[in-house]
Amino acid sequence: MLLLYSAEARAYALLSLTGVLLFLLAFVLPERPRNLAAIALLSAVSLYLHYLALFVVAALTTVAAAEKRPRSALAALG
Amino acid sequence: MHEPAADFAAGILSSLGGAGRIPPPFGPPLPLALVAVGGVVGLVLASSLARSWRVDPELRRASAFLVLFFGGVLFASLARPIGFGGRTEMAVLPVWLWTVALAGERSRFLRGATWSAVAIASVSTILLVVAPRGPSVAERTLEALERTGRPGDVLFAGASFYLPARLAADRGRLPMSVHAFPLEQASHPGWTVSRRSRPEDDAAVRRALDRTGSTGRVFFEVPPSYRKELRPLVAPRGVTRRIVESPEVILLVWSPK
Repeated sequence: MLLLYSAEARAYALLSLTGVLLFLLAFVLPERPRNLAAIALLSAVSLYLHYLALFVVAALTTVAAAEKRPRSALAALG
Repeated sequence: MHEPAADFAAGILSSLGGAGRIPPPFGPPLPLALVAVGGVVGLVLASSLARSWRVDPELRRASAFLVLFFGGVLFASLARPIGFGGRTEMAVLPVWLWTVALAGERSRFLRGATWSAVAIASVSTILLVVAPRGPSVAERTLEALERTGRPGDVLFAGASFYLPARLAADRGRLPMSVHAFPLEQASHPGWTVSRRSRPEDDAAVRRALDRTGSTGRVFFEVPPSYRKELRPLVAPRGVTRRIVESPEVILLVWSPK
């Protein structure tokens, strides 16, 4: 499906990429300054890509805040 | 929501189970049995994750993230048509794959379910790759309308047929006025079959029928499921003929009695 969408020049393939990168940076990798900057950058890029990114960023921020990763949550908000 | 809730849920779950719903412009749909099995596997994986999320912090975070994402989309869909089964889940599909792969390392049952999804996805991919690619029935239908249409004609197009028809009309290839059916599709064109039409949609069709002169015609290029809704609108006012019928599209033409 992602290949089909990418061939049709839709933003979904890129949205998937930014979504999974944001997830890994926020929850799997340590909260280092470089990772936090990447979260902020990817968050902004994904919001430019597609409106569904709003829900990705909102879910990410909520879970990061609840899981005591406040710097990741703040970085996702820019 | 833009489509019936059951279609939305089935589209999401079958995609999570490995057999995504293929939008008509991208090729023929996957076999219904494969989509159904994908839906069951997706449901099994989701419910198994819901039971095992407490055992691992990473699983907990991933599950919470996915639940909040889909919950947010579902909630927002009550106000605006933004949730589409077969499309919405693309935003978090890699996270879903990462989550079920991680869960599979901790549970034999989940590992089996994950491999089932992998098998279904492999079969889906093969079917998609070998599917014949050529002009679809909808494309051929639009070409025929471009050749035979007259300026006094009206076209109501729905689902994935609206946008190509709108573009063809705007570019001067389709010599007739084009309306979306249902009307809301005009502000959010896409391939999804909308839920039942509303009174204003029916009123728009009635207005078009009333305005059509003795030589004008009203065409309907819509998914076959719309036929039942259109029949009581068009049948008492004139003669309706079926020009094209396929699992993907029907083309009806109405003319005054």
